[in-house]
Amino acid sequence: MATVVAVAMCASALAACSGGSSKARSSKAAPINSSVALQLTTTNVESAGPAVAFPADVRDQAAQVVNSYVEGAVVTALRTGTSDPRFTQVFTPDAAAKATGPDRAVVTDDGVEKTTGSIDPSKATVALTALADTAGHVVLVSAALTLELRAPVAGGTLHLTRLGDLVLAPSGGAWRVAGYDLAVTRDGPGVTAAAASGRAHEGPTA
Amino acid sequence: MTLLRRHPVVGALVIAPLCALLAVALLFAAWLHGTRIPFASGATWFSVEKVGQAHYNGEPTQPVFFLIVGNDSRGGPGNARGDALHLVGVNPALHKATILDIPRDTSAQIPGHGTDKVNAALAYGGLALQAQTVAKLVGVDVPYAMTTDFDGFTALIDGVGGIDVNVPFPMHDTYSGAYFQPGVVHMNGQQALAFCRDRHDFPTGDLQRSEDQGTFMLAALAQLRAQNPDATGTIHLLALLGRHVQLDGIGLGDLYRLVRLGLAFDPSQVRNVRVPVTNGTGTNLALGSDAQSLFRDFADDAVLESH
Repeated sequence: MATVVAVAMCASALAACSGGSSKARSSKAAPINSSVALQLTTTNVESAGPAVAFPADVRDQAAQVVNSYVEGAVVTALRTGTSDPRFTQVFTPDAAAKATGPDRAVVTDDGVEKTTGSIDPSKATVALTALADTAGHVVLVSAALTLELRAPVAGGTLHLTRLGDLVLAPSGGAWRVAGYDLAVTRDGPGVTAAAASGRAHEGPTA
Repeated sequence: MTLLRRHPVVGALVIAPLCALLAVALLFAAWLHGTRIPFASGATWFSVEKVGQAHYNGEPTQPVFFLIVGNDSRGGPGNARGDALHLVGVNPALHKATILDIPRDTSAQIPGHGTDKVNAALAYGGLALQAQTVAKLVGVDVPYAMTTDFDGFTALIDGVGGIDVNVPFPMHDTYSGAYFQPGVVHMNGQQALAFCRDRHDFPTGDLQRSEDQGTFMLAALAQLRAQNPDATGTIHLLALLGRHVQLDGIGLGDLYRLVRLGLAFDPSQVRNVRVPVTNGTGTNLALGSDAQSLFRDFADDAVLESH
């Protein structure tokens, strides 16, 4: 499996262009070191109080969480047929239970035809939006995910699109996915009608 | 606002609409424990308070009830009356909700103050007593309540860019300033206030007005849903509201979850029902003969099956 993680580096690259006001945002793209070259496109803080910049540590952690999810639930599943169960470590217990339970077919790519070659991300972006309270403290982060992948599989090419939001909140001393609203579409050899599309939401994004 | 303040009772009713959005959201707030944010960073449009001991435990099968109060803001603490009263019940499991419109003149037992018009509770004991009174009247636990006044309501509606309302009938009321033809009208804050205050156009006066406020709330819910379809939109909305809300007992993060969940409700799955009343003593209204069965139907799961 290709290299993953190291999101902090790209996050640092974005530090200089993070939101500095209640609506400031950056449009400069920076790569997240993952096997699908996830790009952190914008960071934006919506503040109920003073204008604040996107805290670098929060941005780095959030980007890392998204990366861990994509790698564990999507990339690993495409390569091996089964997601890496460790991806749930970046979810809150409630969200993890739903993600690996009734929402598994949407949140992960478990059971999808294994790839026979490189995964080609035609689009793989994340935009972070933070909610700051009246004191300027970030209390929530929304990660808008756009993931469009192509991968060779036996008998052709698998096309996979996953769009939606991951909502991160502090939990157990770290930022974790507390909710999600994800939609997935799959097309290609071996994709059943049931797996062709789906949408799931949990927690604060419901 | 001078004119409005001369008719505070009428105006108070208006406020409820906007609260609807928040209300639905707040209903769910219970499952979170928040911090106290005593003062909004901007002009205060509304306030949200934890008013009861009940706590939503996160079980999707548990209905949650939230009180929305439009107060007449008579110019001093303790003087405002709860002239617009809407008890919102939400059933997360069924994805259905009910707005119970409570006429302001309904006779009710106010804890510690005997029998009086239900809206007097706000003046007697603030939002907590108002919620306690409504909770006792209907037979539910009300853990959260919100209130706003004329200025706050107007600013709130303007702040979200106005609301599209399908006006059901002609309105030509000099008292409230409601001049509308039937059909969809994009209302700014003042127009929304007028729509929700108008009672002189109707034979049933305040009773129709109370229902119209529920109609406005549903319109607001529909619009905010459309405008904020995702988490990012909701965060933007919350940042705006967060600058103009006083929170007592819940935090902004909690409010986000509540609003997000509230916005998940399809307005077509939300019933707007006025509490049946009849003539009572003096200007007080007595509960109608089927009010108690309505309350029981509402209280068990926040969804009306037999009404």
